[in-house]
Amino acid sequence: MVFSSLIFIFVFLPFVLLIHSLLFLHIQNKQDNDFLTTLLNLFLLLSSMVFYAWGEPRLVILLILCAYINFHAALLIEKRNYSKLFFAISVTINLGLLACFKYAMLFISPGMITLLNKALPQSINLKDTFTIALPLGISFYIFQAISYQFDVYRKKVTASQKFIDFACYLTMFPQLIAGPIVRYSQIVKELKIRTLNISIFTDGASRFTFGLAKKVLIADTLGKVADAAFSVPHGELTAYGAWIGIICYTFQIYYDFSGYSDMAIGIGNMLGFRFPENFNYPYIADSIQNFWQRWHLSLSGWFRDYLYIPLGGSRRGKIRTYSNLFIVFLLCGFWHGASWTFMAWGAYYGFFLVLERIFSVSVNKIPRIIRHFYVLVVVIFGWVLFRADSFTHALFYVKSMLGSFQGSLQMNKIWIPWYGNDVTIALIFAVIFSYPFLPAIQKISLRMENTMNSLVFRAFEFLKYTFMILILLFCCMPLFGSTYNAFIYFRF
Amino acid sequence: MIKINQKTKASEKSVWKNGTFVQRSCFMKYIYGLTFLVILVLPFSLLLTSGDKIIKRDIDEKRILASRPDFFNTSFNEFSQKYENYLNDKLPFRTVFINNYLWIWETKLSSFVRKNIKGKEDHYFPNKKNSPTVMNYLGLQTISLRKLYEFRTIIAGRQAFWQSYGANYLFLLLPDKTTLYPEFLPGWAQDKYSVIDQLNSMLEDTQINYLNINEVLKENKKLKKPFFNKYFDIDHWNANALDVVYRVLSKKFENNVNFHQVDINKAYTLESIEKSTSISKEIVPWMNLNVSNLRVLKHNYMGVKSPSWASCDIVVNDKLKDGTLLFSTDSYFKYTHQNNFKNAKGKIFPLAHNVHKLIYVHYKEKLSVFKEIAHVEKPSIIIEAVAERTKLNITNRQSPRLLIAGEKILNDSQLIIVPELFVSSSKKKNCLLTPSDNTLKIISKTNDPILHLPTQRTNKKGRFVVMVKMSSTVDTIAVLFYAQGNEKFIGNRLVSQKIKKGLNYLHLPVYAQPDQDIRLRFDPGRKKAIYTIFSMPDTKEMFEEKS
Repeated sequence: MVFSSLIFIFVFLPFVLLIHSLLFLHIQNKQDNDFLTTLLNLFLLLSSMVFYAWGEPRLVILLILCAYINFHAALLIEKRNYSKLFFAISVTINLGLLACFKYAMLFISPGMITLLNKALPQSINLKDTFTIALPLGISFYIFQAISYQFDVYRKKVTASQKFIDFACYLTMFPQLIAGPIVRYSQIVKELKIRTLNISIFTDGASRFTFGLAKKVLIADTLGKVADAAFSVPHGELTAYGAWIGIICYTFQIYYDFSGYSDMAIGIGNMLGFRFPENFNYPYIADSIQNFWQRWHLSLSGWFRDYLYIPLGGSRRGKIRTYSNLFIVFLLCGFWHGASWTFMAWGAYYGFFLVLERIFSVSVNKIPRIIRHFYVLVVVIFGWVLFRADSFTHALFYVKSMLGSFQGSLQMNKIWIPWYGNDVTIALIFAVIFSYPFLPAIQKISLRMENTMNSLVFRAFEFLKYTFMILILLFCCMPLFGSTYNAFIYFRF
Repeated sequence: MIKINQKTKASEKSVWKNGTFVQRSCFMKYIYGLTFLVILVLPFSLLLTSGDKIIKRDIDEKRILASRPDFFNTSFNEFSQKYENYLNDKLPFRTVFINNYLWIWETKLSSFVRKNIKGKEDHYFPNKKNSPTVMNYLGLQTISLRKLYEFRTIIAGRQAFWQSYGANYLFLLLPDKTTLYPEFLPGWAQDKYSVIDQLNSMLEDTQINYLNINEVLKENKKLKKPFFNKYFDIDHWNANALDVVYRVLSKKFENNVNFHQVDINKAYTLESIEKSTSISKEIVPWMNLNVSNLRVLKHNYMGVKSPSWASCDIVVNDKLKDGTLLFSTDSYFKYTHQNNFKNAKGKIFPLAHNVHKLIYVHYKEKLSVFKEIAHVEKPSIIIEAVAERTKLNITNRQSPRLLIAGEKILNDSQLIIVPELFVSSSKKKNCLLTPSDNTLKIISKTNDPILHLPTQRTNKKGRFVVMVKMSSTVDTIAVLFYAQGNEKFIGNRLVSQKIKKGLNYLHLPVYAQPDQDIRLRFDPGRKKAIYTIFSMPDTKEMFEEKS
């Protein structure tokens, strides 16, 4: 199930919010309500299972297995006897699951299938089209599980004593399939004591609506142009078309991902959880290092704490620091997908980060506007590698951006969506909201609220919330619109 | 333990006023939170309580909406997918949201939202999944050379079929709005890829009797009567085009004794009527057929269960004694911009006034239906009309017999394998050749019988076709390998066709380098069996022959 689907917004989410809120109201004033809290977590756990199972029920077993292994592994690690061994085993199992389900296909060629078929009994003969299904969100929940093992091993948190609580944390549907990567330490208190009131609920609702708008109105709109540009055959794309395509993709990926994170944080709020922020206006960065301090914060934080620092960080000399940085970003790229282009994308960032470290003094002397421009160029070219299907595709796309090709009729794929006013409007909003205007407006409005009299305050609040409702309704239009499937002829 | 944070109890806001904190009520927050939940909860609750009975505004979708799956008789995996489809189709307020979506995105923002593309002067162009006229115009769905040749051969084959029954055949290719009115397309849609020009070029300089309707309508554009509407039913032309085409057809058959000329003003009238669309109302031309003397005849031909635009109708003109015209068409003449005719499945074109019997059949009907009509009704005039946007739909049901008949008319770079082509010393492998009574038996000794054919030359576009009438004692696959120069016969240079036990007609087109000699190897089957090659009969005999 995805957040931007009708079944999620109009069936699953209201059902979970209503039941959760009713249960919460029922138990909030009860004495000694540990059992009831567990019941609340059990409800969230079951909801998450339904959320995950919708469409692909078989892989729920893997999710439960992962939760079960990690829960018990943490308990063993905490016992202090052989804690290192249990820690190593649990991390290996987690990485093994990730390798098996996400990366195995990268290394399995048709020739290997033939060899496997020869080795395997005839009853389990693999087909030429053999594939391993990629479980939804496996990268996220495995990384959450590993962070939990690390934190228990380092004694930053105590291991969960209740499987339901732990499984609720690991599988919680708001952040299950697209992050943010929440650490156990960040929500352990909320698993036991939750604060939920109308203020928090409405904040969550607003955040969810904003996230939905980012995804549906901006990312999906710009995505049409980006998809068209990347589907033009090699060598038939002009520089104009290529730049339009990649600029749209640059905003699409940011608004898609940050929109999803906003929705997750918003739902978390409505359930009484506070998930960490995942983005902080990355496109205003003035260095690549700064970019990664603003982009996918929960992932970069994970790599910093659980890989970069254990590798020695910047404490073991320059060469070691550079190699650590490079390794971390190489793996960070690989985390994004089982493709060599992702790895190259990670290496690409590793290269620029190392470069910035080497020339850090000189870089800081360059005017900020030029540094900002440099970041945008690096990021935009990086997205080509990220979005392209293969190295050849990426190479042709970059060549197109540099004006190497004459356009063909296939360019019309881009013009069909590009010349719609929705794309222009989405692009304008995308540029505006990629700069921190919204927090500034929020600050001003907060200041104004404090000086307003009661009537003006109510009018202001009325306008604010009416606007939010209108945005929610507006977002529903494309969602319903996507189900519109007209035929010229009935029963054609 | 669950507790309420005292600082945010009742979510009240404190503001500093007159030296003290003043608590502000969160009434608006309650209203907002409640509205948010109601918006989310209401549609599904209504669906649960009232089922599909919610009144819906028409969104002109023309398809069967998904129904609720049975949980107990469906696997969970399948159920989730089906239930989501059901919700997507039946959730209350869906049509309201979709109408607003189309109105805002398509009409106000001129965005591409899968239905229509807004052009200049408020003209809309269809770009639906099954009517991608803009896509076609912009060259985003190009047609391969193989498909173009298939199209030409099929049309020629259909002409040959009808000619073999003594009928006059005329083929019409009907233009899309994009082709006829590119001046109204959006400013950016200038790079043209003309489907109709390519299809017409395949028909030019051949024996195919066709009328270039695109040119006819282009010439008549100076009359300042639009042939396509701005928004109403832009998938089809309008009654002005029907009027022009009727006049042209009348002229075309003026010397045909089976086609009676009539006073056009008495056959039908044109008027302007108002039609509502999801975009706006529009005054459109409409054709009113004069139905006096006309009646609909009951029949048992296929197609009666088809929707109106594809149905088979027979109209009898009691005023005339002779002349039967078979009109093999699609919705352009059967569905649009005309009044319904009582008892008919669809609309009736004024050609009914020119002949005693007008038979409507969809061009996608099976060959067996056409054969039955040819025998029973004996039509003397055949008009087949295909819309540009349907592109090559007419080639979807290929019959090798039709293709062979077409090739015979076209007479372009071809080889018909006949028994006389071989002697016992002909180059062969894994088989024995036994000629007898105008046939040649190929007795295969292994699963790989091979016959080498004489070297042939491809045409100026690199095509060459091999045809054969052959029987087999088993179900198998016949393969034709081709090679140029020193190339070997390999797997990626072959054409194959499945053959069934019994009589088969094989049509094997090769696409290689233009104007080049090609070596050919014919493998009649992939099984140890007896294959018999016959002489190629004439067209009528071929169609009459049972498989």
